[in-house]
Formats: sequence, structure tokens, C-alpha cells
Amino acid sequence: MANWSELHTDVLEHLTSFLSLPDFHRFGAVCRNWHSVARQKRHPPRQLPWLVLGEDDTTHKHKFFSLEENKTYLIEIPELQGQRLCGSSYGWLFTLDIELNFRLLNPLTRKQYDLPPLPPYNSHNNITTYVKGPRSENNFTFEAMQLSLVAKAILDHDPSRSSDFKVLIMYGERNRLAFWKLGDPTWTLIPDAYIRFNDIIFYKEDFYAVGCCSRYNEIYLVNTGLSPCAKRVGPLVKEYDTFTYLVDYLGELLVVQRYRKVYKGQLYKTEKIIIFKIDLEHEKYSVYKPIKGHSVFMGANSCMTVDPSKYPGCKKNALYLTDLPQQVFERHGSKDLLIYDMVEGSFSRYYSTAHYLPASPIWLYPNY
Amino acid sequence: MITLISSDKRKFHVLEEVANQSLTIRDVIEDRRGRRRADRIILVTNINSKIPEKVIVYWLRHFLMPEEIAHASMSHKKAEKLKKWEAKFFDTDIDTLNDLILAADSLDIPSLFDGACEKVSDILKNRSAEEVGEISKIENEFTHEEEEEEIPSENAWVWRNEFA
Repeated sequence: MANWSELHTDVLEHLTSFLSLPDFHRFGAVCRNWHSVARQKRHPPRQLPWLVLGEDDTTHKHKFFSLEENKTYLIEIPELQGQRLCGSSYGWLFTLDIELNFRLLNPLTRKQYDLPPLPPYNSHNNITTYVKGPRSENNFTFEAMQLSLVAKAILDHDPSRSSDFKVLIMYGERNRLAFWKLGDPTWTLIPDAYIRFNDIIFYKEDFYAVGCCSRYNEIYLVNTGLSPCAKRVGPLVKEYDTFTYLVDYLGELLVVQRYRKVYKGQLYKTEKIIIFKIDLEHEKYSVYKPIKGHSVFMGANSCMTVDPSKYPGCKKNALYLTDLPQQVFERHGSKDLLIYDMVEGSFSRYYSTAHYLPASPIWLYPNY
Repeated sequence: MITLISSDKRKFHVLEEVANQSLTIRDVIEDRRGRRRADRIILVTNINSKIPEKVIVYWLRHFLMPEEIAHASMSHKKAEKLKKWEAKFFDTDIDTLNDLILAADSLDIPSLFDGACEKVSDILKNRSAEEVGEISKIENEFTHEEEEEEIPSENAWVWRNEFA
């Protein structure tokens, strides 16, 4: 006769590798034995990323929308109060406060790393020239800097699992690149030839960036070794007035171009998406049609690819896009949250909101 | 041909190539290679006869395409068919799943182990600890204090059911 409480620890541990984070916590409350297994936290949770929606007005807790369960969890995380989120990798969030303190935070374990002071916004302005007061066009207030100083930040490895990790940021007026590795006193700036970068990615054990240069997207390999530089490695991909992302689709490097249109005066709406597969070796690119069924969660986060067959409610061959990670929309709020079906070429929504969200949501893979 | 004997003394004859899917059995066969036929009998003492039957059904279905499964080179149609078959195979009561997990663990059959664990995780999905305790007939053994204070304070957001 079967007895559930008699299952071996290693069997139970394996069982936890199939559980989402909420299920995992409930699992740990079933009995003493299961509780001690859950304490080990041997496996990362198996679940779709959550959408971080910002603060709840009444409780001041943070809202995390679960696509799988179609519900929003409210979690008390004081460290997130008043922070702008500039990136999300492996369950860690990059937070920037109004005094421009930049940190790496795991919102669930609440472990934090203080990152060094950020490099200046441009050559004329730095922390000593910023002023207090509300933001407006072309002024260098702390409010404006909190929104625009860091466009995106990513990690190479998970700090929970590796003591050797690096951070790459896209910062300042021109979206320049800089990196920091654990133990460094300051950021190391990557010299560039006046390229404006659009997105960064950790792909096949290296950092890559996509930059725009007179109507072409160029792919750069970012060297964070002894002689830091951004070296052009890929083909030139034509573009016109788009926002460009880099995606790691099961080992293939994709360039995703998001065409947006202004409507009602100032609000942006995505109109078209074009996907290219990049062949770095032959410096070529081609229009891409997925056949593998996997879906991608992307935006200001490090992109995440998931197998939808494991998650009911997750669409196949889909790009789950958050709003544009740039400050453009911040004045109006964010609403352009889209699913793009890569095979059908059609758009739908995963989160409907009547109001414009005050800050752009970001995908987070909840981890401990 | 090898023979499996279950705890209730029933015999199951299986082709070696089929039973090879159990890494434990494969090692035993390797060890005893060249010996007499009597040595090709493997006692599976910790499981009743219902389970070897199910395990063999599972082996036979997978035996047809081991290479394809291992290298994930199956056609989309075949993969869908196998998935449907597995869904039906694992659609059973929680005690049988428990036995399948035990069998897959002791016989070392990774795909069966994963499949059964995944099915159990589906059953646990969105259920409270009390419900899980009832289904699996586990007594929680927690003291009143632990139940009221310690565990809820560990991850308050899971328990409070405060949803926006």
C-alpha cells in the first residue's frame, strides 16, 4: 500500500522540481518531512514569469501578476518602495531610487547587492549637477534621472548560484554600455564610436548588444575582459523607426523589430513586428519563422524562453512583450502589453488594464 | 528474455531490449552476462503486481522510439501522439502514482520517474496544504503553534490570499 509520507527525500526533492513557487510553499506546509525538503530549495521553481505591476495604492504592497493562475499576488517588499525597475535577470531586479542608488535585489529572499555609483548621464552632467524638482523636458532633475539614467541592466549568471557574476548596463543619454563585476569598485565603461545601443543580451556565455547606426542595426560582441570594447560581429540589418530587441531563441540569436505608431497625439501603439535570425558566423540574416513552439517573455528583462506545452494558458510560438523600456511612455503610462503570434503574425493581450499603468511592468522569474 | 518477479510472486517475462530501459536492470544484465538462464530472473520486491504491468506497458510504448525520444528528433505529430498517450497513462489515482514513482526510482527509469512526478505536481497545483494532506492521507504533525504562526509567517503572501 502506498504511503506518501514514506517517499524518500531525493524523490520528494525531484517532485519539487515540477512545482511553481506558490505550490512549492504550499507543499512545504503539508507535513514535517515535506517541510524539511522544501527548506533545501534544491530546484528553481517551474513556472512562467510573473509580471511585476508596481505598488498597490492602498496596501503599499507590490503586485505580481501570475499568468498561469490569472491572479495577482500582493507581497510586502519594503526594499521596492519608490524604486524604478531597470532590469530583471534570474529572479533579481535592478532597482534605482530617487537618490540614484543602484541595487540588485531578489524580491523574494530580499537579498541585496549595492552597486557602485552610476556613470554620468552625459559629459556635461553628473550627480553633482542634478537638481531636485519635478521632471520636464531637458532638465536634469533627480526624478528625470531616475527614469532615464539606466535603460536596461542584465546579469550574466545568477548571483544565488554563482559568486562570480557580472552586470552589463545600457545607460545615459546615448544608451552607452558599462559593466561591473562583483568586487570591482566602479563601473568599467565600454568605449564606443558614438553608437546608440538598443538592447543587450547574455548569449552563449558572452554579452552582445544591438546598436543603431544610420538606419541599420548592428550586432556587437561586448568584451568585458582585459581590453573592454564593443566589436561589431554581425550583419547589418535594415531598420526604420523601430525598437529593436535581441532574443535568444533556443540557441538562435534573433533580432526582433517592433514598429510602433503614434496615435491620439502622443501615445504609442505597436503596429508590426519583424523577426530576423542572425547568423554570426557568416554575417548574414534572414526572416525567421519559428517551428519549435517555444514562447519568449521579453522587454526590459533578460529574455526568457519557455516551453508552452508545460504551462496551460501559455500560447505557442508567442512573444510576450511588455511596454517599451524607454522613458518615452513614462509621461503617459504604459498599456502596450502584447502577445505576438510569430506564426500567424497576429496580436492579442495577456493583461488588460483600463488605466495606464504608472510604470512599465517587467517580467520576473520568481526565484530564491 | 528476462523475468521480473513482483512482491506477490507473479512472474513477468520481458525482452531484454525492452527491460533495458531500466538502468538498474541493464546493470544487472550486464553483470550477469554469459551466465545461466536462472540468473536472468530479477526480483522486484518492493512493488505489487499491478505496477510491473503498468511499467511494462510504458516500456513497450517507449521501446518503439527510444532513439527519437533521447535525441528529441521526433516529428511533431509523433510527439503529440506520445504526449496524449502519456496523459492517459498517468491519469490514475494518487496511490498508483506513488507506486509508479517508487518503481521508477528503484528501477531507475528516468522518463517514467519524471512523468509520474509531473502528474503529481499537477494534482498539487493550486491546492492548499490541507487539501494535499487529505488527498495523500498525510497527517501534518505540526504543532498548533507552527501551524498558526511559524509557517504562515515564512511566506505570508501565499497564505493571506490577498489578491488585487
